[in-house]
Amino acid sequence: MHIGDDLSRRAVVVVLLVALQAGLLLDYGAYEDRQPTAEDYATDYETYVGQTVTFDATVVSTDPTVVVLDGTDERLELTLRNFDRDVQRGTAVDITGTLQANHSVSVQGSVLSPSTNRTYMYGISFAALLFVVALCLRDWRLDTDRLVFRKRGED
Amino acid sequence: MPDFLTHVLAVYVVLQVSAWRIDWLTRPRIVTGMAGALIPDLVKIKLFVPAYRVEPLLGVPFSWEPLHRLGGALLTALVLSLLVEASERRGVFLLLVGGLLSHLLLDAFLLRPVPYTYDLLYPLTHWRAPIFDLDLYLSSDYWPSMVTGTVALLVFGVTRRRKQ
Repeated sequence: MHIGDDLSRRAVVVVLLVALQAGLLLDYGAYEDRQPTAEDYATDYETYVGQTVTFDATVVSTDPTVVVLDGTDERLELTLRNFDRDVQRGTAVDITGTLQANHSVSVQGSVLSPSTNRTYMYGISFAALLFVVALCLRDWRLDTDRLVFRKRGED
Repeated sequence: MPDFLTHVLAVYVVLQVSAWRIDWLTRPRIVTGMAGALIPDLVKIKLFVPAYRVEPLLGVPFSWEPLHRLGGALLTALVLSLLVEASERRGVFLLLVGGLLSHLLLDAFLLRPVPYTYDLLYPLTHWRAPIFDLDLYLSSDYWPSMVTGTVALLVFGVTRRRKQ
């Protein structure tokens, strides 16, 4: 095979694949029955009052338990009703329940995790990412002439 | 997601044990499968560039989530396999697919407050696969990485002994 042809052909296919990927990202964004995000709840609160909502949040105060939703720049604080589990400031909570008018949610299901666990998750994940990158660079090398990765020890 | 380490080591264990019988599974190929186990978490780009920041730029609804679904992850794997030499391309693609399928499945088993998982087969279907709702662990639990770490060390040790 002529190498130059392979490079230009690969470039065309990559562009097509990235375009397809972008199509999926737009299609999913426009999907009407998509799970609402924290951003949806924060910017359009009234729309979701009375509906079953599911979100991740972090406890900001206890007694009563108040949480702030993760994943949005708009600060949305909700008071948890029908919730008597033992939490502390910083506890991560996944909640499902019914959204109520006065910035509260009637909890139907909850999953808790201490804030230290979340720190561990990010730390170990970042370490694992570096580990895999190092392994890949140990066993594969970039052939800069032809812009491909080759297994090391072979030409 | 369980943490990245759990995803990566789960694939390592399966491929390394398989390699005891399958000579084709050399070290660079096992590493490729491990890298495949991280493909769906390309979606974590949303932690740095949230979809709600992209939407005003595009003027249309947008979501990063398909990167963490079957269709999007397969497209990522196709792009990555085009970055390797032609003779390895098919094998690399299959290994990446094995890694990403493992990831999507392990994520379905996560503990959630709802009785369903997520539409992991998108764009084939938006069905949220309740049959996978095993509620086994949280992403932030310590024990999945401890268990896979221990098993991976054992497999690593046995592999070294077998080579001697």
